[in-house]
Amino acid sequence: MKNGFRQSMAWLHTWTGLVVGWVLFFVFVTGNLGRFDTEIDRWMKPELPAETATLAQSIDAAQQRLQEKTTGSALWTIWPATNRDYPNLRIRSEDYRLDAQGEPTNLRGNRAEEILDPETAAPVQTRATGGGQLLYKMHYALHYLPRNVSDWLIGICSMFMLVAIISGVITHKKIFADFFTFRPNKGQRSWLDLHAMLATITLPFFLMITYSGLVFFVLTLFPGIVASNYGSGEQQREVFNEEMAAKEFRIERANSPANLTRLSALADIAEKRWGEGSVRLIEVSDPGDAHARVRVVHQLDDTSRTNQELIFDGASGALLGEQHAESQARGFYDHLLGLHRGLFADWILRWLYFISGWIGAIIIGSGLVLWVVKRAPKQLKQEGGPDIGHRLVESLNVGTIAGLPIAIAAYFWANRLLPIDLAGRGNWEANAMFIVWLAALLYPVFRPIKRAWIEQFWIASAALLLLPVINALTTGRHLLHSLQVQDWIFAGFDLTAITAGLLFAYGAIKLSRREEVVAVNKRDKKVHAQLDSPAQTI
Amino acid sequence: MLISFLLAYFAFTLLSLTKNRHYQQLWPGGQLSESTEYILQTLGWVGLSGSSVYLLYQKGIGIGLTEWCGVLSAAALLLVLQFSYAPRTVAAIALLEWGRSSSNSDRKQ
Repeated sequence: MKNGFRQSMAWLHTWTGLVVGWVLFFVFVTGNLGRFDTEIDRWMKPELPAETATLAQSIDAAQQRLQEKTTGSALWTIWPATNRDYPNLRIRSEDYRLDAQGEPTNLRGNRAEEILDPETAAPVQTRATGGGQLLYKMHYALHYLPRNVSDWLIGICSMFMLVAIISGVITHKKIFADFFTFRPNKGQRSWLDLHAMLATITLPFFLMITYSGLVFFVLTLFPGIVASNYGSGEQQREVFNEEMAAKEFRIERANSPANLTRLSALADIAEKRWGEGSVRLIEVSDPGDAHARVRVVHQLDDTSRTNQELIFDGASGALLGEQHAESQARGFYDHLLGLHRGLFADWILRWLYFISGWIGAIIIGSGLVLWVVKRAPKQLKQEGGPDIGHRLVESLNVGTIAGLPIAIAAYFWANRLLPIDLAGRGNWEANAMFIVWLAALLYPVFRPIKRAWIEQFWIASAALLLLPVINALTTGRHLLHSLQVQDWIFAGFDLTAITAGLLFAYGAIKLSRREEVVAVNKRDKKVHAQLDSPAQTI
Repeated sequence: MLISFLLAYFAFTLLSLTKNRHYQQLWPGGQLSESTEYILQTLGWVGLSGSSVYLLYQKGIGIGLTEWCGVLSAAALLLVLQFSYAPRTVAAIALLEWGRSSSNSDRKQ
């Protein structure tokens, strides 16, 4: 470590950023695509019809289906298609877990989810796909890893990120003087400008997303908090989870059956109070029991995760109360998590989130590139070429920054091209993504690094630009058609893919030109050297 | 949101002109007088506060603050790109502001 506070911070910033940079890049890219998880879902399930049913019709259909299918459930949840997050009627039932004697315990067991057709109350069949949800989940679950491993891994990476942000702010000498400064085409200077300028203008977002990301894992990273109050061990943990999720209105099961009231009538009461289209979801605890409770929840219109809600008696349909009180600590927690997810965001704010997220990915990417650019002059002069560490960072940069977009394009390709009846189809979409990514990570090892950048940029560009073509060939819903019928989900997907593809093409062209210039310069130098000393032959 | 964005954008434009580097980009060899710099800076900060107050008033604290952060990033990004790739497009807007603020300072004297 160097002397001096700022130098130490610069050192800290460099190395904390480097060791977790590639994981963070993956987290930012996949998490940011999650801003449009539902839209990607729709694109990946082109069979799903657009919904036109009324609220009452949807809820009646959901209640009918749930009553036919389940008995003695712990909880039903019904999401009518009243907002962006739920474009189709969706239901879920959760059972009580049975103990060794087959008696229901207080803990939750299996859950089953379905998308329903509100006209027929029958489930809608779609292709097996992880959809946008799986892509979004990768950003914290890392797909192949068990949750307790990925939680710790992402938690530690986020902690490094927070350290890198704070040390980065301290290292940045001229935050205000350079606030608006980006000097392109100046090598290392430009990379540093880009990195620092973008980080400065999105600092509030960057800090929020990292800090709130950490708060998601607070109970994993600090198991002592729970253990000191509940004791340690699996069982105690589950008791805590139950209590954490518990709602005040719930009471002990009566174990005597009672007919459930008509839920659509309760939704109607809520709509009269809140206005049309304001019901987000309906939850029924212990349906069919005399002590059933119905919770009608308002749309998310605040940064908090919790919202206005009405509580009804499930048997009589009587209104019991409004919104339960929340502790300050819980409110803080919910607000941070709500901010991170941004589910409340309307279209403009959603796009602002999306753009900020891309800037975040660019900050990380440019930081990784900067590490290489800074060390390259010295490394290239070295006898025997660059160190293996330097070469490793370079290759990982290409494989991640240019390779991950190729892999994500492969995920979408697989969605359209894999046979519909393939066993484990949903898994294979994700496998395709990671196989392609692995190939992209290995590729730069065998190619000159500059060529690898250019070639992978071209591949990314082609893979993304061809997506609308493949979509048109497999579904018939081409871009012009989507624009004509104002299908903004399909049109938006196509246009975003095209934009990204063009950006990668631009990057590839720019890099090729630079390489040509360098090559010409080198040749000129050689020619001059020969002219100066004709006696020396090569 | 648009009003807030415009306010933030103009405020950033004024503030950027108080930075010598960007001032020189638009008027090479020019030098900002201390009083003008003071005025630009004040107007800039007033504009930024205005854009936040407007959003907070419109959308409430939670959403207002969130949107404001997004608006600030977008406004600053646009300005940075202009300075890097098309500084003249800043000048056009800046000139307008400049005329207004310098006539203000004349009146004061």
